[in-house]
Amino acid sequence: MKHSPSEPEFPLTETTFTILLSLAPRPKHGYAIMKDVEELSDGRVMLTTGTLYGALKRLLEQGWITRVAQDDEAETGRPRKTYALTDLGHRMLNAEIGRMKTLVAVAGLRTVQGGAL
Amino acid sequence: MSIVQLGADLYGSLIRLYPRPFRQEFEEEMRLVFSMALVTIAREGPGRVAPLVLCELRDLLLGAAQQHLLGRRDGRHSAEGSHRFATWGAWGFGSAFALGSLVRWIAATWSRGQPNTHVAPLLVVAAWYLFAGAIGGAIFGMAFRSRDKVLASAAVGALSFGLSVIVLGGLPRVGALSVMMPWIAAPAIVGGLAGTLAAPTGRRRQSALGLTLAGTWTCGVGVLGGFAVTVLVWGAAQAVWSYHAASLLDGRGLSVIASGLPHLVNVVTGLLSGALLGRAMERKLRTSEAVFQ
Repeated sequence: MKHSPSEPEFPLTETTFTILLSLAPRPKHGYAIMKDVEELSDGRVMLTTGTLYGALKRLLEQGWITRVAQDDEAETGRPRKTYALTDLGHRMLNAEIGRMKTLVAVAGLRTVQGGAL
Repeated sequence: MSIVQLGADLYGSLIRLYPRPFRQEFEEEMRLVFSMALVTIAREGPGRVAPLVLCELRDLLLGAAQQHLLGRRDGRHSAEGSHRFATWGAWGFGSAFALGSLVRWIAATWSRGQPNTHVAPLLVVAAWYLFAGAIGGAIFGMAFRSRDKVLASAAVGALSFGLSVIVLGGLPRVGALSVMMPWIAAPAIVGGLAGTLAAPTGRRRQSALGLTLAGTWTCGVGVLGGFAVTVLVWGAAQAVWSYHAASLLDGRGLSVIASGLPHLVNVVTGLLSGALLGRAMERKLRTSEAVFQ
């Protein structure tokens, strides 16, 4: 099912979440996203090229990211395409972060009540 | 040629497995990113190149299959399209079964002439039926449009196939299936049960069970019907041969025809069972489509 922008699926997968998180500060090209995701996840999420571009395609279709103009060029001399979060993508990322914060808060409360911590 | 160049060339060739629209949009970028990843990892040591290439190739194949599935799914918005695709899937399954019969016949004929090499064709047959079972399951999975249900649907298809094999396994003249039953049925049933039980809601489990039963019954009835045809044709052929053929053909020719005819009938059987299966899957899809979407 193709997800329209009005039909977000939460929770996001770790791959989607880390890609969005990687693009939050500034636009990036594919290889930079790949390396950043690896760093952000502390090596747990290691995207292959196929996985990365499958995810980018879906996020483009959902309107969460967009392609932006790129000034610098790759080693091949060809301009590299870069990707940036759209407003919708920012909102979705923030919504997911909010959801996670709430979950952590509830979990913290429950474990304190139960004397687990 | 260095392993880096080899990996890049291989990746560049296999990327053509992606659907054309996907390639038009991402191929150049993917080649570039893969090359950069390859060069970077090669700097860390040549021993790390091969694992990366293998991992990338595995995901490339999976990604290409996924994009083809998504492309088909997006192109089939109507219920009619889904039903038609289910029919094609079942025909594919039937064709695989039919082709398996042909392969078995050819292999058996070949091994008869070369007794010392009979193991090789048997392995070919075993591999083919495993492959056909997997293809059948995957095709059933593709018949459902929902991306996140493909595995469960594939498991349902495999379970249908596995149960059918069990039902038919004890019967004579369905030879290849009975021989291959433990090879195919065990993983199919374990995988199918796991897929069915993994369905997250009771309603989906019920629907999965219904699809499985429909698949099993139709596949079983189709093949049993074909078996009956086989027996009839075989009896008729023997009657004809006993009257005419002995003087027309030598012993070897008769032997080949005698062993081949039942398997040729299996070709028709496979296609018929595929068609029956398709019709049943269509009916079940109409009633359970809302659950699986």
